Amino acid sequence: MTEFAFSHGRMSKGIWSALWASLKFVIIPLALIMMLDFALMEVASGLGDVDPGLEAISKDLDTIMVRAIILGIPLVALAYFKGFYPRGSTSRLTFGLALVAGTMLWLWWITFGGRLDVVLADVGISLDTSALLGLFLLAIGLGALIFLAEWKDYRQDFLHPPEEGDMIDVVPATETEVPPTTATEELVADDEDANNDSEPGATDI
Amino acid sequence: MRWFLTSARLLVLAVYLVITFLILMVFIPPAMLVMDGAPPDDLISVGEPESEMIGDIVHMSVPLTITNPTYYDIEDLTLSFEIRDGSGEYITGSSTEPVNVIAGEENELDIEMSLDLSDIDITELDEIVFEGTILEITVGLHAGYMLGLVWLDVTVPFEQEMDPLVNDYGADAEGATLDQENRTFDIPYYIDTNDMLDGHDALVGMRLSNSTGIMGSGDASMELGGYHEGECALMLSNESIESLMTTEQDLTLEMDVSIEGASVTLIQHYHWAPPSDGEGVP
Repeated sequence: MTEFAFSHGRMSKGIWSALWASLKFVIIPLALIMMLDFALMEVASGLGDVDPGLEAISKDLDTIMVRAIILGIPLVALAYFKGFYPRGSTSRLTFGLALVAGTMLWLWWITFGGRLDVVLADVGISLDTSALLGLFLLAIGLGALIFLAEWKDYRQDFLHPPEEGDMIDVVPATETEVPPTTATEELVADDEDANNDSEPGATDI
Repeated sequence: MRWFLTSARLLVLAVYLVITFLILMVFIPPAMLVMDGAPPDDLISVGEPESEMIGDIVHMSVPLTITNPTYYDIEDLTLSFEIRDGSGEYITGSSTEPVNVIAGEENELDIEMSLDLSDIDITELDEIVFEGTILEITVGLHAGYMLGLVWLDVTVPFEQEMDPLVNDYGADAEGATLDQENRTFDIPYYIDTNDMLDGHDALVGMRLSNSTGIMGSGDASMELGGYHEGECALMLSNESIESLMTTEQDLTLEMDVSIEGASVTLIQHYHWAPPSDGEGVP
């Protein structure tokens, strides 16, 4: 459980991750739905009599909006912790995997499982895109591989962050102004910027 | 180099590229059509529908020419219809065999449908044939697209008022004649049918009864074709003939008309007066 200690994380990275997630899971979907709802209402008012089918679609859009918020907010929280913890940590892997699973659930939930059933002017239209949605879910699910690979690749960096002496070997004193070019150098530079102590796992990248 | 991470990212990127490619393939051909200004009339043309009745089964076929300019086949295209009466009771339905509309080709399709009249509930059939009805018809379309990733079902309901297939029918009980020689009571009848029934057989059956019971019965068969008139000869017993010759009485005539399994009964009450000498005998 020590890897879940707040001392390992960096709040700024968590906030950036949460902001990006709120854009993806809440703000952009809500904006799109509101625009669609507005367009729908414009069409309905243009037609005079509001077709019950249009009203039903409008209600579905409201449902999607509520669902996007209900599941979007926990996803933003997960994204915060995913960004908060450093690469290679089990805590980041855990929140990353939870975020992937949550994203899949979010997409499945707001798309009604890929099924669209509407009745417009007595014409019933039923669109089953569940197989296509399955492809999207597969792609999102593969995001879990990214977190696993990241954990595997950065594990040693997390467990054994470079010591002070390593920095001298890699970055000559005369070239301290040169931007880091390798991952190890990046780690060192980040450590310097953050004025981190030498506690294992405190390194963020 | 972070090999695991790079590989995982490349794999995910590849999957996203495949999905993007699959979706783009849907939109590119219609976009090109719009740019070329090809009218939709060029894409589908409907030929002359044909129908024939073999036994109780009505076979219908509609030749269709569909050009599929997209990159995906339209899979398992099925048309169906369902007929209900005005009260929502199911009457009958049918659907075509699934066909594929091949991508990038002009497809000649023969949409075939069969309707088995024997499947129709007999009470519904009676109503359709003799009274006419308001039919609630639902036409359905089912098809898959994009390698079966997307399936579409469209149902279009509409109402169709259907005139009775038998426009009019009846018996002229007042014009009945008594044939003593043949011991028959000949009752003229008529039946006027829609040309959809031309060539079909019909059977007219009649029963004559008075207050004591059935006096006699008979039937006549005919091939339909518009307006038809005929006489139905009812065989009578000696007592019945004697009764008709001598007694003024109230009679009941029941007339059954049967066409292709549908039947209706017409009941007429009338007053009978015995003929004077020579009357009633042809």
